[in-house]
Amino acid sequence: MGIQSKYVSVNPKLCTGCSVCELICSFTKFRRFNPKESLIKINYNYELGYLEGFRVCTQCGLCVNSCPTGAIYRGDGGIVLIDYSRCSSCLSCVNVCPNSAIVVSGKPYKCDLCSGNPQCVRYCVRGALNVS
Amino acid sequence: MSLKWGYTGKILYVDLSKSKYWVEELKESLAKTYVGGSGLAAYILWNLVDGGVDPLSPENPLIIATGPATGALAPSAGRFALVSKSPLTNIWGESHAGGFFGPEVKYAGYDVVVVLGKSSTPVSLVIDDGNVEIYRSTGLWGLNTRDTTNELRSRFGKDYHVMCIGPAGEELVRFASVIVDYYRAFGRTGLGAVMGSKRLKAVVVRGSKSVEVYDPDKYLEVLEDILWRNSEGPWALPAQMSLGRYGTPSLVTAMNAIGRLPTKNHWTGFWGRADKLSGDELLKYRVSRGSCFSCMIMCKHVTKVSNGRYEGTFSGGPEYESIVALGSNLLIDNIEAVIYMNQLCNLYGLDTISTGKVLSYVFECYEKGLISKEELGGLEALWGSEEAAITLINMIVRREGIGNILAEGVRRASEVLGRGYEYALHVKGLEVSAQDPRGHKSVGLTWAISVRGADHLRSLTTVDELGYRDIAAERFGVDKVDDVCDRLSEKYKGLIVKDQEDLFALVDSIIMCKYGTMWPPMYYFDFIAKLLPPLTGIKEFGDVKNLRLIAERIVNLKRCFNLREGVGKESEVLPKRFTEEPMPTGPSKGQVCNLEPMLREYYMYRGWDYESGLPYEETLERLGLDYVANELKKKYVLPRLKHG
Repeated sequence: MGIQSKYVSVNPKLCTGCSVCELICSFTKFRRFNPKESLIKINYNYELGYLEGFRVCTQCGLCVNSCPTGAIYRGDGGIVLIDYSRCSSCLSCVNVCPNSAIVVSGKPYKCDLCSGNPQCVRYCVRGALNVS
Repeated sequence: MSLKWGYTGKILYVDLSKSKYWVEELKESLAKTYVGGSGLAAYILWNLVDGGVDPLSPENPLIIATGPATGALAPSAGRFALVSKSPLTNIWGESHAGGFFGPEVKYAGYDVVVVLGKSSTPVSLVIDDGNVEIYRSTGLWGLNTRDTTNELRSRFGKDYHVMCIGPAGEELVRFASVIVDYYRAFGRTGLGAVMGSKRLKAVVVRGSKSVEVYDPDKYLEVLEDILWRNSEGPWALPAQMSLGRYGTPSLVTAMNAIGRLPTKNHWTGFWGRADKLSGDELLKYRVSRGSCFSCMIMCKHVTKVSNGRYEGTFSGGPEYESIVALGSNLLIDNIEAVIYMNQLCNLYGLDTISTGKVLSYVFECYEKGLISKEELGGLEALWGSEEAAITLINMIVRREGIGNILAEGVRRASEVLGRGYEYALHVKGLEVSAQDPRGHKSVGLTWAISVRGADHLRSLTTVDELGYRDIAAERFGVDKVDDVCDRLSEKYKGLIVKDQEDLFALVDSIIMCKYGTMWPPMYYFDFIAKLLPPLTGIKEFGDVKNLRLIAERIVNLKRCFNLREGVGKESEVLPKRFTEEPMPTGPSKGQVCNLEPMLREYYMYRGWDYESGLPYEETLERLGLDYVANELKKKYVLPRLKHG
C-alpha cells in the first residue's frame, strides 16, 4: 500500500469519556447532534472508569480497493476520501472496514480528518486525542 | 407550531396503574413560556396534582425532564431533572443528576417523561426510541443500585443507560435517592421513595435519534466560544486546577479556610483535622478521572480503597457534600470510612446529605443524653464513631429499631421522638447542606427561601463567598461592590440571591450544570441569550429581559406550588444554631446569621408582600401566572400593590 496517512488516536490515560469528540464530529459532519452517527466512537466503561474501546478510521485504505466504482481514493497527505459523485452507496467499504469506522447515514461516511484540522482533537480540552 | 430544533417536541406519558403509554406534543407556546427542564416540569406538576396530594400515593406523578440544551454540546449539559412532590418535605421536590441518561432520553425522542399511577408488582420502564416496555422486575426488587444497573444492562445491552432505586427507595425511606449510571444521584428530597411507592425499580433508556439545530453556522460560533472559555479563557485554568484536578473535594480545605466547613452537626465551621479529608488526601485513592456527558470541566472521579478495614470499596465520588455530611459533620476523619459510607449510601440509594445530618442529629442527642444507648439497640453513638455511623445507616435502610423513625428524616424523627428539635437541622423538612450561614451570610437566605428546603443549589452565590469584585461591579453596580463582596455582611444579599435564583431557574430548565454558572461564574444570562436562539429557532430566547422574566415566572410558579400546599413564609426560618449560637471557633468565630433584613430585601426584589409572604397579584399578572393566582385565591386573599 505504501502510503499511510496520519490518523486520530487516543491516549486512554487521559480520556474521561465525556463524549465531546462524538458530539462535535456529529455536528461537523451532519450539522446535528447524534453520538450514534459520530465517525469517532469511544467506549468508556463508566462503572470501572477506563476506556474500553475506541474506534476511528486509521486511513488504512482497504476500502479504496473494495470500492467497485472507484469513488474512494487517497487524497492529499494520504487521507482516504469519498467522491460522492461516483459513490453508489453499495456499502462494500462498510463490509471491508476492519475498524467498523464507516458510518452509514444514507451514504457511507468516514473520517477525513476535517481537511487537516480534526475538530474532535480541537474540542478535546483534556488533550486525550491527537493526530499521529 | 411544533418544535423541531433543540427540542424533540414530544412528551412521553406512562401510566403504571393501567400499563399503558402515550405520546403528547410539547407545544411551542409552553417551551417559550417555561423553557424546559425544571421550569416545564413545574407547569406540568402544577396542572397534574391538586394541593394536598400524598407524595407516596399513585396520584403523585414523577417527571423526568430534559431541556433544549440537553444533548447539544452546550456547556456541561449532561444533566437532567427529576421532579415530583417530595415525600420528605411535602412540598416541591426537585433533584438534578449528571451522567449520560438525560441526553439519551432526548436521543430516544422525548423532552420529558411523565410517570403516573402505581404498578401492582415491581417493574422497570424500558424506553428504546419509540418502543416503550413495562418490564416485570420482581427479581430485581431488593437488589442494590449497582447490581440492578448491571442486571438491566446485561439483559438489554450495554448501550442502555439506567436510573434506579436501591433498598432505601423500596422501603420508602423519605430521603431515598435515585442512582443514575452507577454513581450519579438524584440525591435530594427523597424522590427514590416516590419511585418505590410506584413499584418502579428502574428506568432504562437507549436512543438513536438526533437533536437538530436551527442555525448550525450561528450555533458553531457559540460552540467555539464554549471551547475558548474552557481552554483559553480566564476561568479555564482555575477550573481545571480545582474542579478538574480534585473535583468538588477541593472545597474541603477552601471552606475550612473561611470558617464554613460544617463540623459536628454544624456546631462550628472549622475543624483542625479537616486536612485528613482534603482533596489531596482523596487523590491517593483515585482510580481515574471521569466526566458526565458533554462536559469540558470533567470533575468526576472513581475511588478505590485497596486495603485495611474498608478494602474493596470501589465507587464514584465522594463529593464535597458527602465528605462533609459523613465526615467532618460526624467528626470522622478517616477518609477511607467516608469513601466506604458514601458507597454504602449509593448502593442503598440514600441521599448522603440527609443521611449524614440524620446521623449527626443522633450523635448530638446521644451526647446531650436525649437518646439512650438502649434506644439505639446498645449502640454508642459517639462523635467520630465509624461503627455507630455505619450501623445506623444499615438500621435506617432496613427500618430496624430506631432506624424506622430515623428513615423519616430529621424533622419527623425529632417530632416522633419528641426530643432534640434544636439539633434536627433542616429547613422545611430538608436536612441542611454543607454550608454555614454564619460564615457566609447569604447562605442563610438561600436556605430559607429555597423552594425545596435547606439547599445550596437553588441560589448559592459565590460572588460574595469568594469576593469577585469585577463580577459584582458588572452585575450589581460599582457602588455596591464592597457590600456585595463581604460574605459576613447581610447587605445586598437579597439582591444577589434573587439574581442567582433567577439564573439557576434558567440553568435548571435549559439544563446546564451549576459548575460553570455557580462556580466558576463563567456563564450568565447574556450567554444563555446567545446559546438558545440558534439552537431552538426561538428568537424570544435571545432577549435577556425576556429570559429574566421567564426565570422569575418559574421561581414564582414553584413558590406558589408550596403556597398551594399551605407552606409559605412561616417556613422560612433557620435552625437556631445559625441565628442564635455565635460561631464558636475558626475564622468566622463570633458570627451569627441575621436573616430578617435579607429576607425583607429579597421580598422587595421579588414583588412579594413581606407581611403575608404572598406574591402581589400584580406580580403574578406581570408573569402571566393568572391561572396560578386564580387557584391561590381559593385559599388566600392575595395582596395588591394598588388598592382600587
